[in-house]
Amino acid sequence: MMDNTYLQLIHKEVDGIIEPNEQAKLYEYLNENPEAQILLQDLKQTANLLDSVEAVEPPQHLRHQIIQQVRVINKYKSGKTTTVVSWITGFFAVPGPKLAYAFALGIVAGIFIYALLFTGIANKNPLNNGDLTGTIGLDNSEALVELKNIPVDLTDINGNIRVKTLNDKILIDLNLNPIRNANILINYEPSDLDFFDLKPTEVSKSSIEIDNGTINMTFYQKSSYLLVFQKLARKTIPIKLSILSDEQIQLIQNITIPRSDLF
Amino acid sequence: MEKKDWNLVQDCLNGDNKAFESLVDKYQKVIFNIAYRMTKDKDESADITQTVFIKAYENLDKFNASHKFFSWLYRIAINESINQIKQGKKLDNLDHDYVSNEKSPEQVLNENEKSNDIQSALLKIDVNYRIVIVLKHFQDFSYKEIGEILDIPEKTVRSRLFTARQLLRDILIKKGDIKK
Repeated sequence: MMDNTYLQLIHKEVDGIIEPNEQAKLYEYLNENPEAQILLQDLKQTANLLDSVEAVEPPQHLRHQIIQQVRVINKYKSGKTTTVVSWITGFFAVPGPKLAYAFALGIVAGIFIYALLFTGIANKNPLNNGDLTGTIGLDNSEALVELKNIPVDLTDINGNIRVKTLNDKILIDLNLNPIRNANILINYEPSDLDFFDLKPTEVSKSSIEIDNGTINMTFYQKSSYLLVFQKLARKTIPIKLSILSDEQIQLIQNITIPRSDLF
Repeated sequence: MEKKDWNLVQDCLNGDNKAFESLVDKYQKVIFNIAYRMTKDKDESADITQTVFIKAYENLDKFNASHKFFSWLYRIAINESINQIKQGKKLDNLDHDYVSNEKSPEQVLNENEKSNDIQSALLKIDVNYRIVIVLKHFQDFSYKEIGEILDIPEKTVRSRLFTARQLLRDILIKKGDIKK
């Protein structure tokens, strides 16, 4: 069994950080211990092999992908902080919700006055409400509606793209499997839509560039994303969706989002 | 902390995203290499690198300026790599095409074989030993720096490194990569 002190010196020698006096002591020991000599040689070879391994280059898209993720985080953070403020200002900026709430309040007040004036109503069979007419509440929500399902079956990319609406949001669900790098371009009028969020729905590899009214996503391998937009306009909203490979347009789809007042 | 990194972190906290891009440029290759040597999977390594930078970005305001920025970043990288390993991701892909060089096909083949043998040997040793080998031999850190990154005493670094090298030596002898 080798003395631990000499084992330490052997490793210091391997790392080239041994002091001259320690080195003299080690070599004296090595002369008398062939087993230690073999260990030193083996460990030097091991270290040389490890040091000879070259660094690998990261994939070219990695930097771009990181920067884009940071931009999305910034976008998301700024969107999140303004959500409550924009909801409140939006609420008072448009007449629809104000009128709806005023109407509902009027109905409640009317029922209350009716009950006060005609106390006999309390003695009536509660199930016999045939003499009550009017509207008490309004359902102010839409269900998730699929507007378009675009199957993608091209030479360089396949999968599908689904466009859906939910209240004031437009959802674009991208499930794409590129054979080689492919770009998805989404063009829209910035006054109609605001890019709100991007959610990778499974292990995804792509990068994204967001410009004024243009979203350019590069797909490097099979990926799924859900892009969320917020409607800013109460009108029919056109969106243009293009798929490019090798900078050549492979597919163009024009999508029309119907007018909606429910936001 | 290195003044340049400190300035970049401060600029970044003041909303300058270009400063963060400079940090990505400076450290993405090292982080990718640490992850790659820990996992031997280029896709996993790219994911880990991305996660490391996103976590660093989201936690820049919590970064303790009394520490070195790169130590902090490398620690995130190591933790992320360990998390990936614990999740039992695939670890045995051979990525022959990933080393960029201009050598003859024979040289590339021999070096790739040797490199793959070393990488396979690395994956056979415990993750705590693997980390010190990666930091010492692939990133050329001193014992002291490794101690700072891993937050362990220098003595423990030495002890782990020595054991790790002896374990690798035994594996590489069996594979015939160390000539007797």
